[in-house]
Amino acid sequence: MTQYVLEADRLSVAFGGLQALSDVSCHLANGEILGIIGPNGAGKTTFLNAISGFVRTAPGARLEIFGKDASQLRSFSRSRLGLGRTFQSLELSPRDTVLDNVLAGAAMRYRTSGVWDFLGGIASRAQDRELTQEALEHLAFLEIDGWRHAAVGSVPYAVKKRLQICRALMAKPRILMLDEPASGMSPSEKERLSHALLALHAHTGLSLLVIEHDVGFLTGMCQRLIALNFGKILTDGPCATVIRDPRVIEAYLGQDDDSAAA
Amino acid sequence: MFVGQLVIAGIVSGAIYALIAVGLVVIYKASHVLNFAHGHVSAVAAFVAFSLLVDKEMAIPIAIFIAVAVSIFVSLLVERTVIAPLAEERPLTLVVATLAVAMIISGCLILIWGPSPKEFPPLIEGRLFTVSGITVSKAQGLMVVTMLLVVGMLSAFFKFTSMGIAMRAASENRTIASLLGVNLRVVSVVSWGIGGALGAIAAVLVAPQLSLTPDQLTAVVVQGFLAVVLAGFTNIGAAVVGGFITGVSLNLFSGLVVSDMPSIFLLGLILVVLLVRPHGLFGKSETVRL
Amino acid sequence: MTAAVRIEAPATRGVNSPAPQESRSTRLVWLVGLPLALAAAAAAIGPFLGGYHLFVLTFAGVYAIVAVGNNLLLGHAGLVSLGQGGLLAVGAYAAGFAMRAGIPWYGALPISMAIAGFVGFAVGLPALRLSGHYLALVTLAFALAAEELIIVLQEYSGGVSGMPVTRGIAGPLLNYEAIVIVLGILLVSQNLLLQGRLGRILHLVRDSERAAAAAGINVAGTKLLAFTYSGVLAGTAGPFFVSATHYLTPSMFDLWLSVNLLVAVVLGGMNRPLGAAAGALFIAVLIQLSTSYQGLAPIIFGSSVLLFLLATRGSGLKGLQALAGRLRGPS
Repeated sequence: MTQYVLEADRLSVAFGGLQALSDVSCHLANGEILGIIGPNGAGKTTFLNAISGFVRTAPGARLEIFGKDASQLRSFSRSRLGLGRTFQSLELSPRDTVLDNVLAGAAMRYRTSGVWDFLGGIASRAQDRELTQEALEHLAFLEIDGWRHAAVGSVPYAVKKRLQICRALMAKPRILMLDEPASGMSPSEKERLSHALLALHAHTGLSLLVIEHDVGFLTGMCQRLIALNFGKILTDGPCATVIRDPRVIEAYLGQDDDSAAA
Repeated sequence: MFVGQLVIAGIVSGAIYALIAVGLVVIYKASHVLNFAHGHVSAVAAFVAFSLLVDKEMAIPIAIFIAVAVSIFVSLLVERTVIAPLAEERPLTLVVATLAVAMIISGCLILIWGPSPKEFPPLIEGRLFTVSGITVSKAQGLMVVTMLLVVGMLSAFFKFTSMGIAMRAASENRTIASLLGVNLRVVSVVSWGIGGALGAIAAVLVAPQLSLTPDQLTAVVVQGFLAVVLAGFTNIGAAVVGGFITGVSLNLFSGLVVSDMPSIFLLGLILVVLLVRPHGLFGKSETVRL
Repeated sequence: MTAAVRIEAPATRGVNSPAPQESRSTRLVWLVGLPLALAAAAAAIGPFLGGYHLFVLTFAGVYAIVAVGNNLLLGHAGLVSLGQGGLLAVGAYAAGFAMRAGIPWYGALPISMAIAGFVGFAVGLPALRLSGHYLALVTLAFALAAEELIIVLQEYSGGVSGMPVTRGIAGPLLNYEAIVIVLGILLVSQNLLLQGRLGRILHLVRDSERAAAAAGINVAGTKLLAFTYSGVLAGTAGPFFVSATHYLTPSMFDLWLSVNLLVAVVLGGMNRPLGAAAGALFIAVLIQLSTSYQGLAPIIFGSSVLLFLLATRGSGLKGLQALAGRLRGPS
């Protein structure tokens, strides 16, 4: 019973001897945009992976998605609750087309599935048409629809990044977790992306969790920020406060980051 | 004591499996490929030794030396002509490539020596000792002692020589190792040479016990493979332990339960182990079911 | 919301520009028309084939059926199995038992499909936790265990001395034609399946399990499905295999069979099931042609595989596929 769409409490993840996350807690309210910042190796991606279910968390952790206990759920079940995400490492199918990659994201929305596919695959074809339309709209929205029939292995990096977002959107998530969506982009591309994400948010009421190394990208978008360092939470609060927090600035000192400034 | 005899036999075959497994691990750590041709490359040594011993009546140590050298040569040839060019391909390609090499060698062996099984002469005869009803033959002793010597020397090599340390570094992280000046090509060549040597020695040691055909030897090597899977591909020590576990458990099972189901037993054993530890008994990293 | 940072795709056609959407009819021609045409041609030459040639092609067809299943498992789901020979053994012996018990071949067919499918499922279970080399080894262990099991159960299976089966499809020509028809149907249906949702899901599971899980795909279930499917196809080949040889021995299902079935898929380009069928044809013909020179077949076979792999490296098999893809459209 909670007003939060996502609630994580005391997540701890250790790899061998390395403590990647220690007692990290956070919550996400409906329709909120939450940013996660921190220097390299701070544990940001591990945090998302823990929520996604890709890594095991130490006992004592609590994870609730839309009020349901998700800590014991398998990864794909968590996704089916309405949790979508993108990856820093892209994770695409290079031999398939952009359109096919995006459509793959809609896998769980088909009215038929699994065994029925083998027994004909015809039932899913009708839905193919609708979903293809939707995919094309997403691609157009992120301005890469010209690439729709290109093999993903051969498209530019920026196209791959945007296509990942389209793919995640096809699952109609209610929470979307983005892992460094703006990395490798030029300043103008970053601005376009943040406008697009804000428009998406305004249009669908999606709750967003965004990891970004570039703090400037987030300040335009987020209401709240969480700062991580060495697997622990440094501070958590409204955007403006967090970026002026001396501990956060210190964590970024020495980082080659032009936007981590007061 | 019957069980005791079984255990001894198990330790002895375990020594052979250990040799095979260590060879596989050394190659795997260098090239990250499971050398499915290992059995056949090793079999070359057995066949060459057979011809030298039976047709040329050469002295045993010389014949074995030459035979092992030929195997090493074949192994190096495979490394240079097949593995190195395909090094950047995905694992499946390398699996298929080593399988193809196995086919080629198998065909050559059949063409040169014919398909009928050969009778390999014993390397050493006689009893070593008998203790409380358990007899250990000299041949068995030879196998165990050889394995201990070889593995011992190999461990020392990896621990104390600069090449050995370089190889260990390369298996941990190729990029950093090469940045530190390790010549990856040499590492690969040496690894395959060592792997070939180990397999060859194992083949020559075990040949007297089998009716020698390329496929018979492969059966033994496959059991060595399974020993490695059991133990995880991590290091030599694990491979040795895996070899002994495989040898002893297989012998006990064959002797006490059912004698003609080695493959079924091994499959069952592996499944059970992998169920609990998906990367082998000593393997690293836990996988999460998605 | 202005400013153009739209990433335009290049207008000119080249390696990196997207191919225009080919019309549905072109795609249909390749996916449906080609296999059907080839099957029709194969069926047509049937009556003109001499006994020996018919025998070879019949075997090729049986292997092709199994290879097509392996194509989905390996090429599309990315699962390496060295156990497909074992699954064919299961299918063949299951059909053999059924047919000896008096069941006609068309009754034995669903039985062998079900049993082999179930065993395929069982073989797939370890796959959930293993990948790559480990999976190859465990499936290899399965293939060996299957061969051994046949021998161990020799009261029922005849063991090494073999199991004769007198029933079957009446006559080698009818058997051949039946195989051609089945193969045609399988090729078309697998092509169509892979075009749609199933193909995308398999590819995502193959290329990134995490992304697949993030998309809500039951990764484990999908892998099991792929294994079960490959088992069902191996089972489908069962009654036809039995009808061809009228005799089953474990040595027909040795490890080399599994290796060959894997290689057939690889040589066929791993993309289209038709390639896998072609690969199987190549193997079967080569094996038959060289029975008098026993060592020759493996040497030729292994060398072709190596030459193929070395030639298509860099872009690997993708290079060949990309080329084929340009002609045929997206995979």
